[in-house]
Amino acid sequence: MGMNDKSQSLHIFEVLAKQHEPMLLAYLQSLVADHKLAEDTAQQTLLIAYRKINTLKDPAAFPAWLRGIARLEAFAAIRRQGREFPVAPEVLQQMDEVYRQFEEHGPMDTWEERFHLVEDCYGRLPDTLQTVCRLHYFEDRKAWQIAETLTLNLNAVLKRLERARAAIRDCVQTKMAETPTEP
Amino acid sequence: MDETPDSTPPSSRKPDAWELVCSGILRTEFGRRPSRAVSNAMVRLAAEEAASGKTPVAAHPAGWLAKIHHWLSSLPPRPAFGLAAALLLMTGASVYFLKSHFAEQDAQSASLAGCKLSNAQAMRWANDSAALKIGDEMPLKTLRLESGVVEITFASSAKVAIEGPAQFRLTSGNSIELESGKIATDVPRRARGFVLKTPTATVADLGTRFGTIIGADKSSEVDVFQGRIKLTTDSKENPAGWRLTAGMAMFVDERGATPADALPELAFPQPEINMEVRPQNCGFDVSGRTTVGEVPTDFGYWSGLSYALTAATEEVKPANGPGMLEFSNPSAPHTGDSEVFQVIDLRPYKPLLASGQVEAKLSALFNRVAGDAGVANKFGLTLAAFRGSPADAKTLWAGRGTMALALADKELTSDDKPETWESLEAAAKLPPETDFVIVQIRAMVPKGNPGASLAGHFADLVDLRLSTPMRASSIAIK
Repeated sequence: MGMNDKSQSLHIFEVLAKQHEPMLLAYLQSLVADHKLAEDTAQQTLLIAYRKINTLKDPAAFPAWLRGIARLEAFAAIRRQGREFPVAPEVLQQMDEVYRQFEEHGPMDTWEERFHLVEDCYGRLPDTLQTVCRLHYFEDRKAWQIAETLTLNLNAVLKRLERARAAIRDCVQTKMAETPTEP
Repeated sequence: MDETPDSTPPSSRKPDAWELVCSGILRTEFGRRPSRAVSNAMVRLAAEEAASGKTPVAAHPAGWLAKIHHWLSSLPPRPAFGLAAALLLMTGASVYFLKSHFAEQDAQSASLAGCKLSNAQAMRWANDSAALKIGDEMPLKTLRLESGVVEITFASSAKVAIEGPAQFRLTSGNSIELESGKIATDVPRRARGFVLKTPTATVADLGTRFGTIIGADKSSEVDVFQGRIKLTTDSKENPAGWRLTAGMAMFVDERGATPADALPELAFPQPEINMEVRPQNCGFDVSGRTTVGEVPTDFGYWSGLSYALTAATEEVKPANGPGMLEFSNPSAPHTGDSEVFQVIDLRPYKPLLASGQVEAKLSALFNRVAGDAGVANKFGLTLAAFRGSPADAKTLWAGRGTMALALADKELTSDDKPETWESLEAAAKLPPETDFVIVQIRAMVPKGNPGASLAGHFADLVDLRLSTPMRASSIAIK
């Protein structure tokens, strides 16, 4: 289907959706921790967002509004799987604040550019921590599978993941505080 | 970065908000993991629209289009992004896209905000076409360039060079229709999504450089120089389109698309291109590979006889990031200046280098602690280009006076103020045969005082940029 086949509304929505797709997927990955489920939920989120776009009062709040829909969809998707939603309401609120800080730090940047901060901090991890991160987050392996691959015990893998997360968090926070916000 | 041993059991603490956000970003491979969420959603929404015969949104009286249009109209015509608090929650690129989109829709708008004719060579417009000058904003109407080359910089920051005879029309702040002529693009990542329409094909740029030539029969030859594109045609043979990567080409006419032999880049015009080819660990901020020794024999790491990567000291703080490089005096039998090297691979830039017009600019920041008269106060920077293998870098460097394809060297007498960093830049034109460059930064001892201390002498942010000016094509294609 060519661009001309779409309505003007849909065309503009597509531009907005593409701009925020990396953020939407990263946000959903944080909540559902599953590539396929995050992808399906992102798609569902976008369908709902377009149908409800008239309820968006402030167009500048589009990213936060999109996350609000994504949160509800993720909640429903997890419930359908018979699981409990893993993130507490106050943490969800804090996550929104974190995303707001990413946006404020690089108001002119794309999400991919904003995510460079995290990539940079990941690059600073010692090899041992990078390896477990790569296997767990990029290659979607469970902790016990990583333990088998690396001939470690499960606790060691969990500990490494915990240390990696904390190190990346500290590094990103430091960088955000150190690097002045872009003009 | 972390010293906790594995033997400590994992805590029962749940990840906090920052950790969750960063984990999500990791899972998307920093936003680069391919996704079909948007495209799938768009297909479904378009199908819904087609089935119902109207847009779900347009059915509402206070449509969001009007709302967004009103919001955009309230912004300055050429938004000062950094100052507009209203834009903090939306990427600047979105605003450009949307503003350009509305500019297109608005019958009152004569030109596209932010899209300019940024350069030209021997430009001659047809009599029935608007005669634009360098610096003019691009109009929405069709333009006919009789001869010469024009460079257009889009609001999205994408650049194109169009060579006449050509007929074209900008359709938004990130798209163009080319009816005839030759075009080449340079689309930075920020402008990803740039669209070129030709009479037979639509090319969506996924962050790249590509060129297109429209034939007399309205056929299109599309060649990718770098990155990747998505090419679609009106034919039904492959509605999903083709994804082409660097070195690939397709020929598209009314019968469909067929793979073609890639033409040399010189067959296309070229906009001005600026590329960062930074040395690895250019800001000395990460504890990557470094060696103690002479000129490296491989790409991508710093090597020198006497230096260390360090954090801020009492007197000197890094110019950027947490780290910087500190020089120190080489120990006997090596004496004199402290030199640090890196070898940078330029073979991936061969297509660009082929023009012979590429200028390399090497820059670095230097600083030192205050000192008395006679203190070592000079720094130096050298850029040397070579053909061959990095395994021979040491020999080539030793004979750089005669063996280097290009050589630039600059020195700086530094001030006495540790609170300020001083910049030094060396530039050289790189010939097409260049395979790699050796970059050297150094702190120098005074000629009459070879024992002068180099402690407290620092470098930061070593940067290498390649730039090539706008040019016309230089190979004719029949």
